[in-house]
This record gives sequence, C-alpha cells and structure tokens, in this order.
Amino acid sequence: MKRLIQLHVNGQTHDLVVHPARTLLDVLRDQLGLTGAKRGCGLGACGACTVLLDGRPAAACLTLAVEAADQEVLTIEGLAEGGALHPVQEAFVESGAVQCGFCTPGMVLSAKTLLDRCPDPKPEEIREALAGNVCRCTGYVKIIEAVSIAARRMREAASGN
Amino acid sequence: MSEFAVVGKPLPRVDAREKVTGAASYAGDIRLPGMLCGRILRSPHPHARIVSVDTSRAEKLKGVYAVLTGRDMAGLRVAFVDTPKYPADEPPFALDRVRYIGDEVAAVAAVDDATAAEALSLIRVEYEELPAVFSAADALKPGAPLVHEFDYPGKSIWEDWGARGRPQSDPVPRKDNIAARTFVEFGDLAKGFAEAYHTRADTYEVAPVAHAPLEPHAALAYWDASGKLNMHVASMGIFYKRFVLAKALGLSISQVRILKSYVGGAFGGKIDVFPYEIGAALLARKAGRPVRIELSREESLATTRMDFHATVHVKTGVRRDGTITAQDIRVTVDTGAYRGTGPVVVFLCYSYNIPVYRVPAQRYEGLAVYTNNPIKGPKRGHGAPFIRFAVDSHMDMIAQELGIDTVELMLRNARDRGEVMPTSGDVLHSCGLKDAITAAARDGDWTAKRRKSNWNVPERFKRGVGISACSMFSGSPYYPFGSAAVVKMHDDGGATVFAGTVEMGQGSETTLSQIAAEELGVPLNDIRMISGDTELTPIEFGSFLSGGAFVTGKAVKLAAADAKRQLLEMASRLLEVDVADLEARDKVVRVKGVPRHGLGYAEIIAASVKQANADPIIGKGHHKSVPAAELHPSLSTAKGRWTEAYGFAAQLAEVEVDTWTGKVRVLRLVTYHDCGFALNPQIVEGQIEGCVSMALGQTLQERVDLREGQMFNPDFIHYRMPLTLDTPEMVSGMIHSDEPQGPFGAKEVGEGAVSGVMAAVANAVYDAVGVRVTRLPITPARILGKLSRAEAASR
Amino acid sequence: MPDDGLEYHAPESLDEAVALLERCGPRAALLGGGTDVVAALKHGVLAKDHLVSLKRIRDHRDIAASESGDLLIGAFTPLDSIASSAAVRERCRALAEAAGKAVSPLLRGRATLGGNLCLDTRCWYYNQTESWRASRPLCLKAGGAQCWVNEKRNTCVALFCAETPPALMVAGARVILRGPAGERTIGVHELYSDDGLAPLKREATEIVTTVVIPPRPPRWGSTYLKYAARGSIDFPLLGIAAGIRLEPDGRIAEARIAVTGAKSAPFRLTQFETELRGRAVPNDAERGESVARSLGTLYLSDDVPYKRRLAGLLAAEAVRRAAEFARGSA
Repeated sequence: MKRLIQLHVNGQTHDLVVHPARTLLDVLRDQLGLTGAKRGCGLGACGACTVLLDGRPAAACLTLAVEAADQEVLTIEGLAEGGALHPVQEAFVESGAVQCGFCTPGMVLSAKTLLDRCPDPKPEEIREALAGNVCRCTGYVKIIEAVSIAARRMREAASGN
Repeated sequence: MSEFAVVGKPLPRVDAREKVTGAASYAGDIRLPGMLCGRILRSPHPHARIVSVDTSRAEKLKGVYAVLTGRDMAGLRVAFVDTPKYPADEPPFALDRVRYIGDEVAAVAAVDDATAAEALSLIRVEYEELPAVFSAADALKPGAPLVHEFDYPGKSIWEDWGARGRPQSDPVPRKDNIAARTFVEFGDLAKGFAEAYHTRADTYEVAPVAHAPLEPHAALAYWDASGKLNMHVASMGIFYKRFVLAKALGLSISQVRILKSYVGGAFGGKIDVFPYEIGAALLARKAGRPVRIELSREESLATTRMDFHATVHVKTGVRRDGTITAQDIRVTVDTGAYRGTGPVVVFLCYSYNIPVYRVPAQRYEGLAVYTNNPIKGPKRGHGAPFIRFAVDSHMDMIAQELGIDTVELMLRNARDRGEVMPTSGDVLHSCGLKDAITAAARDGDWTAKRRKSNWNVPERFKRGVGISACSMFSGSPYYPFGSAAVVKMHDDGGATVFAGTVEMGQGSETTLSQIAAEELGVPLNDIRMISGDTELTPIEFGSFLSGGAFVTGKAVKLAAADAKRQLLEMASRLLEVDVADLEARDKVVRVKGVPRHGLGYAEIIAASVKQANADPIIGKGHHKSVPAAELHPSLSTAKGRWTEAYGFAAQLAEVEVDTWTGKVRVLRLVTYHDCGFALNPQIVEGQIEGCVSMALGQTLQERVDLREGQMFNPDFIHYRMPLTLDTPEMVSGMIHSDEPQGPFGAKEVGEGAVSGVMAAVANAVYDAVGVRVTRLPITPARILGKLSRAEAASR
Repeated sequence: MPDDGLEYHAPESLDEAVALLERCGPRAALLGGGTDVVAALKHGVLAKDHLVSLKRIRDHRDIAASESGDLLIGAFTPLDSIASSAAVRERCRALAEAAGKAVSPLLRGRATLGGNLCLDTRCWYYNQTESWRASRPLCLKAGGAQCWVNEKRNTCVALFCAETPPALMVAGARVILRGPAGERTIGVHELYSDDGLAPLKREATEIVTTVVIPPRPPRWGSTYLKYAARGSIDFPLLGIAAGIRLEPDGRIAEARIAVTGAKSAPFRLTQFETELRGRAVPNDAERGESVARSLGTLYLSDDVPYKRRLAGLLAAEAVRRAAEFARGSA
C-alpha cells in the first residue's frame, strides 16, 4: 500500500506518495526531477546512483524511498553551493577526470565523503574509498589524481593559506 | 608545440562542468509531458518457432497505450551490414522464429514501468523449441541445425549510395551457418614457407566480452505535429542511425530527427540500429504520446551486442633474422544469431594486422558463423584485440625460438612511413610504429627487466615484462562518407561551431572546439558548440569509425578557415591592404609586422553586416574520409581503399604472477600511441588510460559467461569490470608522427591503445613464469593449471 | 518488481517489531540496511508482502563491553562501524577485517551485522531476474521442483557467502535472538542449517539483536582472508577466518578455521584443526594440501580443483597470519 512520506533532499522537504517497493533512485529521478543520480546497474554494484544519506554514501538503487524518509539526502545537484563548485568538482574538471560523465556524480560524492573524514589520503586510501564506483572510460588514473589535488586544496584552504 | 595557441594544450573539457554538477542530460534523463514507459518481451529460448502470439489481454490492461509485435513490421529486416552479398537478416521483432535468448518478440507502452511489466506478463506466446547450436565449431559441422534457413535478398538500403544493386528475388535457401567469409591471398605462400628458416603454428582463443558502458541503452521517441519522428537516443553515429531508422520505418531522411543527448560511454556497443529503438518509435506513433524505453542492465549486457568469441590459427615462416617470409591466418568467429558485424570483423582481423609487420606472402581466411548465441557487434578495436593477441603472442615465441630479443624482432618486421598496404593500396603517410616500440621498451625498462625471472626456482612471486604492437584506422568510406561543419561568427567575434559529433566521453566537443579556436584565432572560451543533433548540424562521419578527430576535425578546421578567410577579405577591404599581408590572432586582424594596425573581429563583422548586404560571416567546411574511394572496400576480399591514415601503438606490460594462486598483478602498463598529433594531450592520455583499463579487463578478468546461449553473469556483480583497485601504474606516451592529411597532423585516438595490451600481458606472464596462456581471459586458474602441468612434466 | 499488496512497517521498538512478526512472520522481511532485500525484490524472489524496517529502533546499534567482559555488538550496527572499531579489532581482528572486506564502500555504511549474519544463500540460477529465470522451470529455491546445479540428487546447494559469520565462529561468538517468547542465545554456528533452501535456523518471529564475543584468551589472534576476482563488490569465492591460540613455546594450542563461500553454511575445517593442534605454526612453504582433500563435494564453481587448492592455501596463510597476531598479543 502506498504511503505518504517526507523526503529531505538538498535542504528541501518534499511530500510524496510512494509505494513501499519504490527505490530512492526512482523517486529522485522520476518524481523530483533530480536526474544526477544515474541508473547504471540496479544492484548497487556500480556506484552510478551514489547519494549521501546523513553524510554517508549509499546506493540509491538499493535504498527504499520509505527508508530514506528520516534522513538528509544529498544528491550531486546539491553539492555546489550557489554556483561555486566544491573543490572535488573543480579538481575533476581541471584534471581530465571526466569523460562520458555518467559515473561522475557518484564518484564525486564518494570522494567528498572520503575527504570529509580523511583530509590527507594516500593514493591507496583513495582507491579503497572509490572501490565501489565503477568507471568504464577513464581507467581511474585522473580520478585519483583529482581527488589528491582536491584534498591538498581543501587542506590549504582550511589552514588559511 | 608552442607554435599553437589552443591545440596541443591540455585544456579542461568544455562539457566537464555540466557533468560534475549533474546537469548533463542523457537519453534516460529527459522527461516529456505524457511520456509513456516502454518495455520489451523477449524470447526465453535460444531457438524456437513462434506458434502464436496473443496480446489481447495486454492491450486491455488499464494504463497500456500501445502494443506491438513482429506483425507490425512484417518483412522488415535490418542489419549493420546490408549488401547484396550479405542482405539484412534481423527482423526487429520476431515474426516466426526466435534465434537467441533475448530476441525481441513484443513491446508495450504504458503509464509507468510497473504497468508495462504487468502488460508483458499478460502476453501469451506459444513457442515450439528447436535444436540449437552454441559454438562456431558445432554450427559448422555437417548436419548442424540451421540458424537461418533463408537469406532475403531485397533491396539494400545502401543502393542509393553506390552499393551494387541486385534484383529482388524470392528467399534463397541457405545451406550452412556461414554468415560471412573474408579471403585474402597474395604473394607465393608455398615458396615463402619453403624458404623459411623457422616455422611456427599456434591457436588462440578469445572469450566474448561486453562493452558495459555505465549508461545502459535508452531511447525516447515522439512524433511532432508535422509528422516528424524525434528521438533522443543513447547512440553513436547519429547520421548513420538516422539513415537506417528512416529506412526501417519507411520515412524519408528529413522526417527523422535525432536530438542531442550526452552519451554515457559506447565503445561500439551503441551504433547498431536496435529493435528497442525501432520499438520506441513505433509505440510512440501508435500511442500518440512520447515513449521512453530504458533497457535494464541485464538487457544491455545480454541482448544488445557483445564482442565476439574468436579462434585464431596463425602460422608464420621467418628467416634466420626473424623477418617474416610467409603467414597463414585463419580466424573463426561466433557472430551470434544474426550477422551483426561478423562480416566486418573478419575483414578487420586481416586489415588491422597487415599494417603492423611486413608480410610478403599471405593467406588469410576469416569466417563468421551463425549460432544461437547473442548477437555480436563492434567493441573498441573490433577484431584488433583478437588478431594482435594471437600474432604478437606467436611472434614472442618465435623470437624465443630464434634466440632473438622480441623488441628486435618486432623492429625488424615493423612497417615504415611510405609503405603501401597490399590489398587496399592505402599508403602509410605517417607511421610512428618503430618509435612507439622503441619508446615503450625504453620506458618499460625492457632490457633491465626481461628474462630476469628464474622459472625453476620455487619463489612465490615472479615478475616479467612483455610487449606488443597494434594499428588502427582513421575512418573509412562508409556512410556518411565524410563530415561537414559550419562556423557561425557572432557580433562580438566569438563563434558557434555546428558539427554533428556525439559526445560520448571521447572529448570530441572539446577537441573540435580547440581546432576551431586555433584556426579562427580566438580563445577557446569564445567557441560554443552545437553538436549531436541531425537537424541542427551538418552531416557527420561518426566516431564509430574512428574518424572523429581525423574526418570531422578536418571539416571543422576547414569551416573555421573559411570563416577566417571571409574575415580577412573584409578586413583587407577595410584596411586597404592585401590579404597576404594580414594575420588573424586573438580576435584581431592585424597587418603583419605592424601590430598596432588592425581591426577587431567585432568591428569587421559589423562592417560586413552594414556593407556586405548583412553578411554575418559563416564558414563552411567538409571532408571525405577517403577522398579517393567511392564506397567501402570489399569485405570479402579486402580489396579497395580503406583509410587515409593509420594510428599505431606499442604497449609494454610489467606483471607479477603469484605462483600459488595464479593471480596476475599488472604493475605497470606503458603505452606509446602514435596519434599523429595530440590535439589535447590531457584528453589523449585519458583515452589511452581508458583503453588500457578496458583492455586489461578483457585480458584478465572479463568474460561473458554463456551457457547454452544464456548469459549467466548479466549484472555488474558477476560481470567484472576493473575497479580503482585494479589500476596499474600507467605511462601514456604519445608519438607525434604528424599525419599530413590530419587536422594539425592528428589521426585516430580512442580505439588504438587497446589491442597491444593482450599479448603484452600474455608475453609478460610467459617471461615471469614460463607458461604460455593462449586463451583470454588469462585467469588465475588457467595459469595455475599450466604451471602444475609444467611442474609435473619436469619431474 | 511486484508492486501489489506490499506493506511497510517502521516499528519504534524491538517489542513492536516482534509483535509485528508474530502477526506476519513468515510473510515478513526484515530491513536492516535493506540491500539484500531490495535486490531480492528486484529479482522477484522475495515472496514477502510485509517489510519490517528496523531503522527507527534506537538500540542494538553500538559496540560496548558487558560487565562479564564480553564484547556486545548490536546487530543493527553498520559494517563500516565494525570495520573501524578499535574495540572489535582488539577483541576479534577477523571480524573487523571481514566487515571491512564485505560488499563495497558504497554499501558498508548501510549493510548491518545482523543482515550479514542472516544473508540468504546464493546461486547463479536463483539470483537472476524473473525474465532470466523464465528460460527454464523454477528451481527448488524459487519454489519449483528442480535444482539445476545438482540435477541428480535434486537438493538445493545454494552457496552461503556472508563474510562475518566465519570470523565470529573462530572467536566462539554467540548471537542473541529475540522472539515472542523472549530471548535465546546460541552459538553463531548454530544459526545455520546447511540447507540452501532455508539456510537460517531463525524462527520467522525472531530478530537477531546482539552478537556476543567472549573475552579472548592470552596468546590468541585471528584474521580473515578473502579471495575474490576483484578487491571490492564481489562476493567471496572463498573467505577463510582463522583463530589461533598459541602455547607459550609458540606451538599451536588450539586452532579454529571457518570457511564461507564453499557450501550452504559457513563451516569449520575440523580435520585441519586437529592436524594443527600441538604442532608448530605452518611455514611459508605449506599449502594446506590436506584441506583440499577434506572439503567434500563443491558446487557452483567453474573450477573445483582450483577452489580446493585455494582453500588449502588460504587456510594455511590464515593460520600463519592469525598466529602472528597471537604472538603480538598479551
């Protein structure tokens, strides 16, 4: 039976009627028009649908919308603040870490959460943190470079350089 | 390349910002009012006769707006290859037979996905199962069940474009499962083998792999008030696609429009005209509403196209110094239930091989065989991975047997600039092959690392290096035969480029913008691009033929040059100076040597509008992929001009083999890619890195697990693409051989750095542990199996 | 996915949840992280019409020591919290390692310990979509009459692949289940039936609430090794946990080795454990050949000899690693 829920997405609250089996990904894309999270595989095995739930990465394709109702959802559309790109987004643009762009929203969000908890990650730690995000285009080389660059810039900004 | 202001520079991509913010729109992202959701009913059987199809209950279901079956398009057949010799063989929706698990039988359009799924469950199909074949070997046996009983030699859709006509006839009964054959013979083979100092023969096998771009296939179709079909499609080559769709639907070309979407990766898997695309269009027409069909990941993997299962037999004779005297190659591919690109791949296994080493006498036979497996199509390299895996593994063994260093052997046989290809007559106007081999060997520390492993010592981890080379074309005389572009100046001196390229990750929007900016003398920021729309842009060759930089880039360069010429001519009138004394840079036309005497582009354009009857300055350019050729070469004989420029790559792999588990870790992969000139080095590096990653996946861990025609791993948990953890250290070098025909000397990039990886890894494994794996993927179990057998044999 | 008649409940307390299960236990699926349940829904193999979410229940989400010195881990704790917990690492390193290697970074923040313990068995004929499975009659696990792997004997041989159970088994851990009649505590190994069809000995009205890890003896160490095609996302081809207690002179006093990914339940390598008792820690050259022979029939593998060989190798290596940790511990 369908239920009335409230979803808090990118700082906005939405009242929605959803069927229990409907995934957060379906609701974000089809009911809220937030198409940044992508349908890549449907089984949480590619990371293209990565969103943040209370700051932690989650596969929106394996999360029921009803389960996300009490949490803060952040999608890629909510990351840049007032047109200013997040340092991870900026670094991706400059480093050639974007090719077809389909994995990019998920990759950026996963990288952001890594840097939130680990401001100075070694390349091996970056690889581990992004190991659930598949990219078929880049071979990951420039993605890992971009995350290192973003980390450095964020550290410099934080220390007031 | 400091002589250039924009090209040759690693500038950030023009589409990157849209993509990092989630604003970029792909075919599955677009929503239209009243849009319906489409779904496809597929055959669960690999081979069956359709006895009956009853859609009545589905049609009555509330929320269903249209249903279609094979009856709605009776007699229609489509195919990537549609020639008199190989007539189209695939009904988009089955009429009387299904030939593989996944073959399309019916489609529905409904208000939402759940209703569409329910509608499918209400369609009753009665099947009579038929005997099936699942391997090329079985399909070739006398008495094997025929996958196709008839050929249907109707009018080829390419007859208007020069394909030889053939009178229509009744269906012609087939006698075997051979879908296509390529045969090439030149030189004196017997003599060549007779005078060889050493001869070796090997057999190699390559398992099928999936393209698996992260974006699944998707199409949105709607018919507008003028009766035109509009589509957003996850597709490559939109002008090719528009042409074939129009023919399939009985429309004129200009009644079909493909609008721009970004494409989330393709790698060859999105060029065919697919039944789901035709289905979306027809459902939209029936329903009178837009219809979107998004294939599930399983459908994308298992029922669209996949790469071939291939077997390669190669026999080579060499002189004492290792130079080739004769070569005999036989390739057999399982092309699946319909021809797909089988006829092309067996042509390409010859055509991608012949530019690498000099072969005075050659016999080549390629067979594409029908089976009841899923259909095969072009995947990044399209045959080059199999043939180069085979030949360079084989050459590595020959080198070993002769006591010659493999790099040395390769250099002795490698072709040079100026050589003419035997059957096509193509000339290597640029060729950086030897430089690439030398550079890869150097950066990979070949001499220091080669043959350093002791095969007989029971050490757990052993290391080795291996090397291989490959070649790739830069476009071919195939529809649409070339590209055109328009450069429109704006009042402020900026410009918009109109080019039909599809941006699917290869960076074409950026490189074409750079070419235009360089030629026009404006900063990159002043170029906008309109791309990927068949209505808004001129004809475009399509990156599916590796002609993005080479063909479309040339057209864009010419269009920009045309606009610049008009600017210069107007400036010449205004300044009363000869055109030859003017130069155009940084949006200003100046008199050479008199930097202060000039006019800004904006001023010139304003003057042109006022004085030249409102001429706002628009440049046009066009370029044919192979100017001298009317039509593609013969697929069955390989005779005829094929391409204007060849890219080359040499790749070296350093591996560490765990002799206990058989696992191979690639420590380093060095690529030197002869791309002529790197229009944007960052993009070229990105393409090389992506090619290498995909190639390593095919070499070590990816495999479509087909059992009796069914893909047992149709999801991303079990179809295992490389992850961040699998990325080796990569060196991505470029050789600038300056192709005279290419824009700023550029030729292909994007496909050429795949096919040297396979043998490089196989040869490195051999170097490390002394076992030769002749099948892809090189799995731990295979290595361990061979190691155990070698160990047992030596005791 | 089936959209009709599915009810969703989000009870506020464990009592409420148990009461719900009393009403509709056999027709209910528990939602911890939900990843397994949603995948099953999409494949059309869930066969439940009630979803009982545990998200609102505040308890059973942390890691704490009890008065008696046991380490109590709430079953609703996400795997990444367990992987990064110093307390878990100290008490049972194998568990921290297993939790850190399960699934992928994307799912580890939501997948729970309880969910992992209760993971359903898997088979390449079963974990497929309805349209895929339409190519043949339904298999035993999906409610049909035929096992397609094991056609002759016709019993379900779906594989158990969860990674935390073997780690818990080598530490002698227990689980607490809460049901309508109250709580009961069993050894982790007692949760499993070795029946691919119904792998859990959990009543439909019960919820796993807590994992209890007893204090570890001196000179005891543990580890978990995973062998998979890739370093993330993949289920284990083999997962082996070892818990080793050393004598003061460095010989093995007691060995416990548990395996996942090979049969329909996690299981101990009892023969190997017996061989190891009283002897020196195996050196680098030993490949656990006897393990390969002791495994019995293995299903759902493309290369059984290879898998056997790997099992021996990994078991020996796990023993060595666990012994190293044992040496380093008080």
